[in-house]
Amino acid sequence: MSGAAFGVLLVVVSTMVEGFGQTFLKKSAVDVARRHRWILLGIAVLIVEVLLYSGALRFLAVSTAFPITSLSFVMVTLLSHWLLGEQVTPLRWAGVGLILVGTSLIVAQA
Amino acid sequence: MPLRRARSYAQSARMSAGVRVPVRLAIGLAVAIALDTGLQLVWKIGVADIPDTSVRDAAVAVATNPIFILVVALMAAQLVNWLKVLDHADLSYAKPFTSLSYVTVCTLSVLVLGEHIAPLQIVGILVVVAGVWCVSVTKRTTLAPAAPPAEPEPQRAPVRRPQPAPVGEEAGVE
Repeated sequence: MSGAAFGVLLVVVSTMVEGFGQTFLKKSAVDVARRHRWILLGIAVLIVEVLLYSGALRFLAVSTAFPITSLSFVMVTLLSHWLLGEQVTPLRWAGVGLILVGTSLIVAQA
Repeated sequence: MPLRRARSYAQSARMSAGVRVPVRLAIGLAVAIALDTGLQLVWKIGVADIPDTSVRDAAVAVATNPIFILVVALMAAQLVNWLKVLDHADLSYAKPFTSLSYVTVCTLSVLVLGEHIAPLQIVGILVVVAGVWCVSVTKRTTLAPAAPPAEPEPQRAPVRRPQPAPVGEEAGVE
């Protein structure tokens, strides 16, 4: 695996991690009985995300890595739909599609 | 003096509620984009200086390099500023504007860091901005479900309020 591919992988994993972190933080507002546990879990996960993104910046230009982090919007949308049962409007699904197309174009040239 | 000061505060509060809020919001959004951009560039510069000999060396480099204090400070400033922005605007209104930082980060990474961006990547960044705009601008739906249709109220006869008797010169004003 090339350095650029490894960097892209790290950014993608960091956006997945951020998706879970945001979901945990949202859970803290819904599951009040275990609020502190969800907040701590959310913060721990976001620290992991910072480390992963820092690793990615070792292998990628910031002009490549940063736009790929927009995949976190995709992850948050998917996880909030699957795990939290939130409704997702057609416009938001269209946005998810555009982000996937845009990041694919950026990764293709990485 | 205290009375004058109190009047001044009251006047300032009225102005901030009526006139200054949009300006403050615009400044807050501009600061959010600027902090995001600064953070990404400083983070990239700091990470480039980390040695890749061992995890211990990397940890020591992060702990001793002041640029990472700046990274943390920028993250904290970003959080504080963002919370201030959300005091003045809904998330669905404010968030799409921050997608402009994808453009500013990439532009400044070319100008400051000398990075190269391929034409297809520029197209990709613009598509991402459009996508983030579509995702963010959507209003929340689950927490604020549409109100159930109200049952038609029975027609009531309009209540006739007694008209106040005209008093002196004020009688003809309204």
